Amino acid sequence: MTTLARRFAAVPARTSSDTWRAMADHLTASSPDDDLLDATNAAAILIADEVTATTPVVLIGAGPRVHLYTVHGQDATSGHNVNEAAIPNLVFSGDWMLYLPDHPYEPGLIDSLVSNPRICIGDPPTTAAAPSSQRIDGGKSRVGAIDLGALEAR
Amino acid sequence: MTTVSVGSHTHTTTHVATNLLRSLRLLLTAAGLDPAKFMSSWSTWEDGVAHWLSQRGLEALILEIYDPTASANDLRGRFDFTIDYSYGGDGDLWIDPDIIAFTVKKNGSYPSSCRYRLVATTASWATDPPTGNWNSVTLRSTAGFTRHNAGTSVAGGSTSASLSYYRKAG
Repeated sequence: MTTLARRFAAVPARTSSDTWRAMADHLTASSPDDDLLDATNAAAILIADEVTATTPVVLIGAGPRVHLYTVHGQDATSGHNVNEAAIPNLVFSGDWMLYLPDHPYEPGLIDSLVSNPRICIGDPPTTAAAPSSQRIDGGKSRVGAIDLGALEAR
Repeated sequence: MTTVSVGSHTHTTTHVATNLLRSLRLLLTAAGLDPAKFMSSWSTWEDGVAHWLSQRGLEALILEIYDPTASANDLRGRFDFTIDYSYGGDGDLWIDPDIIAFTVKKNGSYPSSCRYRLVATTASWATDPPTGNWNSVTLRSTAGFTRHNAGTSVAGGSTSASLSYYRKAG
């Protein structure tokens, strides 16, 4: 399984909402889909609180697994540690899912902001077997958890 | 307090816009109010605030807390983030989240039955943001309330936002 990581310049290079819009535009560049914009308010709040600096938004089922992080402060304006390289061949016509991390200090904070069934709040499954129609055990993988951060391709 | 040293007007605008909203959310939660309504319009507010800040036209963000069951004089409290475009900062961008907790501790919280309304006051020449549906409103009377200054909550470059709160006098 290939996991790609991208790190987007956030505040103060972009507002939190603009950061999410840039991420959504980036992901859907070759396969337009407005569903990701349904996550704008929830994602922006996570970005504003810098949750996504360390805990990624995860896209599964549109191609390679994608981990989206944000970069803040001076690094956001200098471009240090920013990686917004295009990810080719993402396709949103299939059974994809987007996972937003729950807020670490205020669990459930953003629950009411997301109603799109393709957008989940919480930890993603640890394997690429994401399509909901193929899930077993409530979406839990039968493979033991591994540290995907160590495997992320740049 | 979080401090970052960056510089351009655009960066200042972005920093202050996002962190003003962040401060408002923290304030709502700390004051015992449900932030869901505000959070559901987060991007609209953030776009609007950034737009007005870029014009130096935003004067204040005002949070009115009212009792929906009262037939008159329903204001129960108010918080103002007042913008100053001549702040003598040294270029650092910073936010002081502790001021929110301090202010609510001094002011007290509200029953969850209270509701709130967020109002932006702008210069007469400021234009409407390109997105969102913005309407003119009249602020509730603060007669009988006393205004207290809590201090600067967010700043960057020459722009700052100072927090004050209104408490019933006596």
